[in-house]
Amino acid sequence: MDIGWFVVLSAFIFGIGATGVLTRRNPLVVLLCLELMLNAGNLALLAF
Amino acid sequence: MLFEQIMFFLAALLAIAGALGVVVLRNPFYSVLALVSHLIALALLFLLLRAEFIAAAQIVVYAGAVMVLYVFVVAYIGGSDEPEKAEGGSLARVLGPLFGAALVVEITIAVVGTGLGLVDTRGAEIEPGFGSPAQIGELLLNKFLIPFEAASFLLLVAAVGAVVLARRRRGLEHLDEPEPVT
Repeated sequence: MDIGWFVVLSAFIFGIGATGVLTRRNPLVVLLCLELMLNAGNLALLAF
Repeated sequence: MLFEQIMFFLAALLAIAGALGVVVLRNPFYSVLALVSHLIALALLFLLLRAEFIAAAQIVVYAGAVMVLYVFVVAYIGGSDEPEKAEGGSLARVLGPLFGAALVVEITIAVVGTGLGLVDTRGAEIEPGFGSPAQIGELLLNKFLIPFEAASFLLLVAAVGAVVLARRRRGLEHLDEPEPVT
């Protein structure tokens, strides 16, 4: 697999997480979306 | 090779669906369950990247321990649905997805525009034991001992601080209760 696919996928997950952090009101769900963003960073790190 | 690609797209679809579920679903409990499926899909992706130990740790620590913690927290405090309309939230509700889409487009352009395609698709040359738990442990305890200990000390400080803060809050309630009596 090309590395670019993984990085683009992690970008998608990061964007979804950022959207969730900005739009959701419930602080617990905001934490969950922060976890999403952290996991996107993990995926991008492991892709290299 | 073909099997790898099929697995990648399946796991990627599952990961994106789980992430969307976390954001879209209104009940926090369902959000947590969507996040669990998302984490399992991410563990599949880690397996495709030949990071077996990280994948196992992802399953055990994230999908197991952390998510159970979240489920408990949801059961304690966050079980109720959030209100449909929050005042002043409409602006963020419109701008948030726009910002997220802009972020995705920006990162994608940055990734595609760089010379990332020039990187060999097979990755760097790795020796057979690379990424095994034994080697990770050896690196953590030899080469990266100081950062490892610093991180663990930081976590210890955070845990003790959380306990102290929670206890102080409860203790103040205890102190407040007898006061009206006297």
